[in-house]
Amino acid sequence: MGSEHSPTEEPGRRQFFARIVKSLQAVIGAVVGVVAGGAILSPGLARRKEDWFPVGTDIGALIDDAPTAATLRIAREDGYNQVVERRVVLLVKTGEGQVTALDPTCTHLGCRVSWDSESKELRCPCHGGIYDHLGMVKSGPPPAPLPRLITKVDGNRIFVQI
Amino acid sequence: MSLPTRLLDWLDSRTGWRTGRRTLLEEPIQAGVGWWFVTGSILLMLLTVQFVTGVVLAMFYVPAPDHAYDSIRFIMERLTFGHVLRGLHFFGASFIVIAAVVHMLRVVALGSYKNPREVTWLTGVVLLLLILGFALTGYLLPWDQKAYWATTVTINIARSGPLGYQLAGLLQGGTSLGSLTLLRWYAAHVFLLPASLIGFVIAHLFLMRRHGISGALRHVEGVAKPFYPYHALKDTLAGSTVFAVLLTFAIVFRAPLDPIADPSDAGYVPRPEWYFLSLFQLLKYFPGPLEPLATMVIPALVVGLLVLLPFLDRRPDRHFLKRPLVTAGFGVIGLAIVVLTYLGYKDTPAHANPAIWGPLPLAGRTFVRDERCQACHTPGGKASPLEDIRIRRDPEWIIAHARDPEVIAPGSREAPRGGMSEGQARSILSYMRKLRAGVEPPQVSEDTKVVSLIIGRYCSNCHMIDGEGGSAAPDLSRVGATRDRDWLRNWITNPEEVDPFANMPAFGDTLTPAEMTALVDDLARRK
Repeated sequence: MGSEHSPTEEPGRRQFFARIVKSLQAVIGAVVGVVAGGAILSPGLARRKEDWFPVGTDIGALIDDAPTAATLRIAREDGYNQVVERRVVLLVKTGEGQVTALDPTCTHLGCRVSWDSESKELRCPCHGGIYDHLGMVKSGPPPAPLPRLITKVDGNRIFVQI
Repeated sequence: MSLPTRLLDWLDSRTGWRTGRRTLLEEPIQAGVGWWFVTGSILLMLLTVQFVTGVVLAMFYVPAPDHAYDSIRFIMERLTFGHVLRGLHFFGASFIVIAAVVHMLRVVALGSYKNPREVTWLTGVVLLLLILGFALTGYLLPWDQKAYWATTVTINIARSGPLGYQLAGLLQGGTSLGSLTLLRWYAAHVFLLPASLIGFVIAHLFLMRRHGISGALRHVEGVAKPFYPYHALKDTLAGSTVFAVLLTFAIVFRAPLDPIADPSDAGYVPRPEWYFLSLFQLLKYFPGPLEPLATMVIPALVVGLLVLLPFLDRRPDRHFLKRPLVTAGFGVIGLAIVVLTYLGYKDTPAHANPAIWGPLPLAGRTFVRDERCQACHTPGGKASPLEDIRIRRDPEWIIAHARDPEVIAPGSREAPRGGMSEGQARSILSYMRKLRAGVEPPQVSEDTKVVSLIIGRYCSNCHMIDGEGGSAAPDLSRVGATRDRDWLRNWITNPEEVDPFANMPAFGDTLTPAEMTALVDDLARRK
């Protein structure tokens, strides 16, 4: 080094040193920032793995053109924990061996719709959204039809991809 | 004038931050303050890294015995850069202990603690003790075997001294080592100690600035220069080098995690972290009633000497050769610590390597693919897939459940009929333990697979092998040392032909000739 012995102040040298100090500190900061940021952000941005889940209801038990609610048990990772999440899907028989699965979450503000067997409509209890038996909007505030889930039928058993 | 400049000007007029920054950065540093004076800055850098990584770890860590271990595993395995994050924090702790000792030795060697810097030194001694406090409270947190047993020892040491009962109660927080202990050590580690540390660091830096840097031993000609960027450059270069080494450690070596704390495991030999190894070793030389000498008196004497140092050594001479007593004293204590640490290290028995799979976990891995297990343990099934649940139950529960699922889970109406043998249940338990420890299954030969299944299904019902299995019959781990192939083959085929009073069932009809050969070969190799 030897800069301590330099009798005059050299602005160029001083600036150069300052730049090295700043750059190195920025590098350390960036490395710690990337490690910390990766850990903080990654769990929130992770995508859920899709898998086929069996529905407890047989295809024979479904009624034509009327949604039947079925509950799925989905073991899900919740951070370090494993939790079993219960999730409801609406199953509609749309033909021989064909099933449509609807997510009963209203597309307006996320309330849970249910089947009204008298009016033959899916009704949302919150803001009066009304869908038909296949989840298409009939009236009310919902901006889009109910989301459909991919299904497959294996013999009598129904599987839903979630 | 641009908007940002005007904003900063306004802020300056209201706060005076530019003057503040100048005061902080432009301290005149006299000529001759060289590389020896970077040790404090390195410590500050390491403490900052520790603080940041600690805060991020706290977002994922759960201070409860049921969850602590799993939350650490989550950090290590699932988080992006999680193992680097924990690595920085884990190895950072060791780096800080080393850096603190180096800093202290530098201060001692250059006599920097002398008048008027006695109080600066005292705050430094407190900081050293706080750092050791961090280390001690930190390693209980993962709730692994090392955490559990090292803390048990620490609390029992506290119990052995005067007012020991009260002190141990304070440390333990409950009637036994458990959730209350973990919570208070956690609170100390993340609230109490950091708050104290920050306070004392500020005091230490304030006093350092008040008295100026002690500087070179002899006056060096030259003008004083501002701290920034001249000395700051040395600090930053040294700090960056240390950080680069720390980062390499964090990336290359995995921060260790023992199996989960198990109070019933008598086979585990607890050893403290290396920086407490000298104290641990010291204990061995003071048995029985002399023990408090090692646990209390000697450490207290060392700390007492550190506290009193600037008041005992009051002559103005700073060169270490002109202070033979202090130099010799630190030399002796330092050497004693190094030697004790080395002896303690040499005395540490090798732990069973969790990466090695014995026959039981290998067999268990096959047994859990049995349809009786898969009937329920499947995605979306009655129970979670085995690979996901790891161990949350105690070993007895798992063995009982594998032997007869219906007994333990009476709600599952379709529980498969017919459970497994004791050996199979043990194998499954052993496999689950490996899963829990996060050890990848190895690639093994077909013979090894066959032999594992035989051992898991039959032998381990009664025999112990590689530390696992039943205890009704002799341990087979080293059976090849005393029995040869022929004897083993005859014995396994029909024990009564070898010894009419043999208790063991004959397996000549159970095993195929190929299986028998593979088994006999494997056992004969165990020497």
